[in-house]
Amino acid sequence: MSGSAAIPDDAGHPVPDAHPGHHDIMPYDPVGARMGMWLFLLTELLLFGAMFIAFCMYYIQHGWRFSLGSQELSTAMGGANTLVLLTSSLTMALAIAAMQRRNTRLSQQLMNATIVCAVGFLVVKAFEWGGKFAHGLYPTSDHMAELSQGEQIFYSLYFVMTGFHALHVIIGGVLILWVKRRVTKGLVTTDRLVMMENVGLYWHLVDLVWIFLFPLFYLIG
Amino acid sequence: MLLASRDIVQKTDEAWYWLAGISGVLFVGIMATLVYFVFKYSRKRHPQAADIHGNLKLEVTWIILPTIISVFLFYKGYEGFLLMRNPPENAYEIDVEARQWAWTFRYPEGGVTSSELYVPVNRPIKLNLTTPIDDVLHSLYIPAFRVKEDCVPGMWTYMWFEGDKVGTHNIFCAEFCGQDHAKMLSLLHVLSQDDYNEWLDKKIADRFKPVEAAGAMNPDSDEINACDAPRLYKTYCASCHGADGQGGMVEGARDFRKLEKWKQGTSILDIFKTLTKGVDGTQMRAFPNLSPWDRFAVAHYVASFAQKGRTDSTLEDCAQLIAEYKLDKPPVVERVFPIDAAMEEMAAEAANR
Amino acid sequence: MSSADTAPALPKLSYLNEQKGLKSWLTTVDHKRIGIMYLVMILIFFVVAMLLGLAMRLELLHSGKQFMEGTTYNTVMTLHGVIMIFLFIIPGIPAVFGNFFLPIMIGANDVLFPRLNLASWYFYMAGAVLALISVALGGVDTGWTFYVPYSGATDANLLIPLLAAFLLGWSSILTGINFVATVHRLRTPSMGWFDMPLFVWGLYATAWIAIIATPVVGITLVLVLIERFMGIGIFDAAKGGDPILFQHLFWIYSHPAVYVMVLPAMGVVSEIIPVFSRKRIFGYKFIAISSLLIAGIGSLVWAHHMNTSGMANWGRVLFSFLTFLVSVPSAVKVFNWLATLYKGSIKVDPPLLFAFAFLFLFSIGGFTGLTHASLSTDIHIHDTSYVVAHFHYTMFGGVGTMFFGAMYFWFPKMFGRMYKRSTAFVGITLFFIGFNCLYIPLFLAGLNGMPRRYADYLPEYASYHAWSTVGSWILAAGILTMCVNLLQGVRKGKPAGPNPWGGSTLDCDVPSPPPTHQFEHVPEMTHGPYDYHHHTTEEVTA
Repeated sequence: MSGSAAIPDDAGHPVPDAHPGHHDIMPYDPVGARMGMWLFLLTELLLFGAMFIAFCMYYIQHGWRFSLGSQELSTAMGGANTLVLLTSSLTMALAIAAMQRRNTRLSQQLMNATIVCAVGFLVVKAFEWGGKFAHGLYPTSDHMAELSQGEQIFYSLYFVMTGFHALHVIIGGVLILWVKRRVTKGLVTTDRLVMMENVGLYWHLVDLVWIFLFPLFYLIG
Repeated sequence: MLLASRDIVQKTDEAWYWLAGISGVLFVGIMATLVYFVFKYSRKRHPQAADIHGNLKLEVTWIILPTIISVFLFYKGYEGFLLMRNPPENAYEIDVEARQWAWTFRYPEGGVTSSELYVPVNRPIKLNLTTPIDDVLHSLYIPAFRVKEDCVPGMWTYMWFEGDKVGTHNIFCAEFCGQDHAKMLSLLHVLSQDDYNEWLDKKIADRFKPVEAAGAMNPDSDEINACDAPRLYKTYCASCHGADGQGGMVEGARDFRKLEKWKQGTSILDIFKTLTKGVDGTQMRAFPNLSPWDRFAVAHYVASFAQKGRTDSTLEDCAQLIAEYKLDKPPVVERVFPIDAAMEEMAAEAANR
Repeated sequence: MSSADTAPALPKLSYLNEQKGLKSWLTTVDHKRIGIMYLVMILIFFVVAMLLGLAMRLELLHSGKQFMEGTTYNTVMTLHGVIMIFLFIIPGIPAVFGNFFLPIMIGANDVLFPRLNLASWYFYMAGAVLALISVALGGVDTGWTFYVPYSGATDANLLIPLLAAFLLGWSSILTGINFVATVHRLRTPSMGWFDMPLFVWGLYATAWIAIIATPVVGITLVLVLIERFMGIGIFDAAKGGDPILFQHLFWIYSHPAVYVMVLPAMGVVSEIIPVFSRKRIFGYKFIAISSLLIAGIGSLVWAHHMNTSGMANWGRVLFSFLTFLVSVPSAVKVFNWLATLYKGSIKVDPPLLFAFAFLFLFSIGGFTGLTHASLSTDIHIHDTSYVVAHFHYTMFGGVGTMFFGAMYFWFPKMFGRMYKRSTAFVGITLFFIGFNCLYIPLFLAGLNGMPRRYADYLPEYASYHAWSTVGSWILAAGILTMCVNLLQGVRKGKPAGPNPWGGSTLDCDVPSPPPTHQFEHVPEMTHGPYDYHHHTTEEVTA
C-alpha cells in the first residue's frame, strides 16, 4: 500500500538542487505522475473487481439466500454512508479547485471537511458491524453456522468486501491528512499540485467502490 | 448412434498424430532453415548483410497459414472431445467417490462397492465422480482410455469409456491431493460379461453377510465404508443440504433442522422411502446405488439433525422395512454407525407409545 | 572506436564505483544499481531452487522411496515451484535487464519513479525473506498453485508463503507501473513508438500484464488467508463456496503471468539476432504488435488450465479455441526471426547461440503447447509429466535460457569486461544436451500416463525417470560452467569497450560500464535501433 504514497511523492519532489545525485535528471512531471496514479488506480479496481466477480458468481448460485441476507442489513445506515462519501468526494474536489485558485485556507478547510466525512463514515460502519456482532453475526460464530450456506457466503463477502473498503477509507483519510500538512508546509502549491490531485483521485476511487458495494449488499433484498 | 470408447482412444490418438505430424514438419523445417542460413550467410561467406526491412506478403502468409492450421487442429481436438463428453444413453453408471487417499466405486446394484474398478467388456461405462464435501480435489485418470476428470467436493462430474478387450489397466489420481497423492492408485479390471456377472453376484451375496470383526477393524477394507453414514452423507447429500443439514446449497434443498412441511413425512421410514424413490418434481433424486443398509443409516443420520417433534415410526413400519430389505441381519461393523443399536432403539420407542 | 590491436580500457568512474559501500547500494535509486541488486538476489534464489529440483530428480531416480517421504517431496516440489516462479522467472528479465537497459535504450537517465523502483526491490526482498522464513518453519506442501480445498486443509503454515507471494506481486505491480509510465514519458524526444528497440516493446507489454493481472491473484491469495484464519467461507465447499472459482481467479493471473515471463525473453531474442547477423530485424512492426497481441489474447485463455476441472463443456471449447489463436502471434515472431537471418552476415557468438537454443527449446515448448490446447489430447495429458516437460521447455528452455542469453549479451555493458568465449560454448552445449535429456523422457512418460507431482511411480516408468535424472546432472554441470565463467569474467575479464557486439541501440553509445549519468545531453536518434549500415565494415569486424 505504500505505493500509493510513493507515486505522488516522487513526482512532487522539489526538483533542482535537492540531491546532487539523481533527482535533478528526473524533472517535475505532473503528466507522468498522474499517469502513474491512474495505473495504480487500475490495479485497485482490479483488486476489488476480483471480489465483485466472486460476488456475482455466488449471487447466481445462491440468489434468493443473498436477498435474505441483504434484508438484514440497514439500508438507512448504508444510504447515510453513501451520502457521506459522496459529500466527501465533493469537498475533496472543491479543495483541489480552491488550491487551483490559490485559496489555501479554503482548501484546508475543505480537506478538514473531507476528513470529518471519512471519520463519520467509519463511525457509522463501526455501529453497523457492532450491531451485527451483537446479534452474534460474525465469522466463526455459532449463529453464523446455523444460517443457510447462501447467507453464510453473503455475510462472509459482506465482512471481507466492506472491510477492505473501510481499510481504503482509512488509507485515503491518512493520505489527505498528509497532503494537508504538505500544503501547510508549502510543499504543495498551486504550481505543484499533482500530489494533491492524485490523493483526490484515490479518494474518488474509494467513493466509486462504495457506489458499487452499496446496491450489491444493501439493495438486493 | 452407439459410440464405443475405443473411438475415444482412436479420435484422441488421431488428433495427437495430426498435431505431432504438423508440428514435427514445421519444427524440422524451422530448424533446417536456421542451420542452412547460419551456414550460407556466415560472416566468412557473406560479409555484407543485405538491407531488408520486411515483406508484407510474407507476413500475411505466415499469419494466415498458422491461423488456418490452428483452426483445423482445434477442430480435430474438438471431435474427440465431443465424443468424450457425450456418454451414450445406455451407459452403465458407476459412482466414484474419491477421498484422501483411496477410491470407492459404487455400482448400480444397490450397495455393491469396491476399491478397484470392475467393468464388463464392450459396454459403455459412465463414471459419476465426486468427493466428500470436506475432502480435497482429486482426479480420476485412466491412461489406457485417454480419459480424466477431476473429483470436486460438493459437485458431480462425469466421464465415460468402453473397454474393448478384457484386461487390467492403471488408475491414477492426477490432481495433487497431499501426502499420499502418489499412492492413490487403483486398477481397472475389464472383465468378460460372464466374469463380471459372477463377480457382481458374489459381491451382492457378500453384501448381506455380516462383516467379520477383523475386517471391520481393517481400514483398507471396502466393507468398513458400507454403512459409514456421515461419509455417505458428505458424499451424496451435503452438496445440496449442507454439511450440517442446514439446506439451501441449491434452491429448495430442505433444511433438516426444521421439521415443517416435509413433503413425504419426517419419520425414519419416510426418509428411507424418500431416499429410495426420490421426490417427484424436485431435484431430490433416488439413490438406488446405496444399499438398503446405507440408506437406512443415512436416513438415521438425516433424522439426527432435528431431534424434537419427529413423528415416530410404528412397529409395523419397522417390521415391514425389516422384512422387505432383510435388515434383521445387519452387518457387525465397529466404530461406524451402530445400525443394530439404532434399530433396537427405534423399535423400543415405538413399543413404548 | 579503436581498432583491433589497441585494447579498450575500462572507464575510471562508472555506476559501479562512483559511490562506495554497502549503504550506497541499499539506498541507491540508480536503475542500474537496482538492476544489479536484483541480479544478485535472483541468481542466488535460482541456484537454491535448482538444488531443490536436483533433489527431486534424485528422489525419482528409482521407483520406491529413496530419501524423501511423500510430504517431504511435496514440500520440496512446492518450494522449487514457488521460488522459481515468484522469485526467479517472473521478476527475472524485467527486474534485472529491464531495469538496467530500459532507460538506457530509450535515452533516459533513469525510470520515471526512481524511488518507487527501489521500493519494488524492497518488496521483492521482503517477499523473499518471508519465503525463506516459511522454509525454516517447515515449508508448505500445497504445490505452487495453492489450490483449495487442500490449501485450506493442510497442516502446513500457509500464512507466510501466501504473504510472501502477495508482497512479490506488489513488487511486480510497482515495477510494471514504473515501466509503462517511463516508456510513455521518458523516451528521448526524437524516438517515436516504432523507433523503440523490441526489447522495450516486450517490457512494455509485460508491464501491462503485470498491472492488469497481478491484483487479481493478490486478492485471491488474501481471500484464501482470510478463509483459513478467520473462518470465513469463500472457496470452502463445506461453507457453500466453490473451489473452482479459486482456480478461475488464480489462473486469470497466473496464465498471463507466463507471458509476463516469456515476452521479455522474446524481446532479448529480437535484440540479439539482428546484432549478430548485421541485419535489421525483419518485420519490426509485426514483432512489436505480436507482443501486444500475445499479451491481449493471452489474458483470455486462463481456463485451459482447468480442462478437466469439471468446468462446463462449452467453456472448455471456448478456451481451447482462444488458446490455439494465441499460438499465431508466437509463430509470427519465430518466422520473423528466421527471416532476419536471411542474407545476413552471421557470426555465431555465445549470445546468438543462446538465441538459437531458445528457438529450438521454445519451439518444442510451443508445439507441445498445441497438444495441450487441443481438447481431446489435453484430457489425456493434462496433469501428467507431459505438462511438466512442456512447461519447462517454455519457461526454462525459453525464459531461463534467455535469462542467461541476456546475461551473456549484456554482461560486457554491465560490467565492462568480457567472459571467456570458449568456456561459454562448453557451458551452452552442456546446458542444451542436459536440458533435452532431462525433459524429453518426461514427455514420453506423460504420454504413457505418468501423472505429475508424484513422489513415487510404478516400475514401468523407471527408464524415463532414470534418463531424466541423468539429464539433470548434465544440465546442472552446464549451468555451473556458465555461472563460473561469468563470475571469473567480473573479476578478471578483458575490458570490453562500449560496443563489443557492434549494436545500434542507444545503449551502445554509452561507455561500458556506464557512468551513473549515462546521458549528459538528450540523445538524438540519428538512426534506427537496427540500422547497422551506418557502421563501417572495419568497425564491425573489430
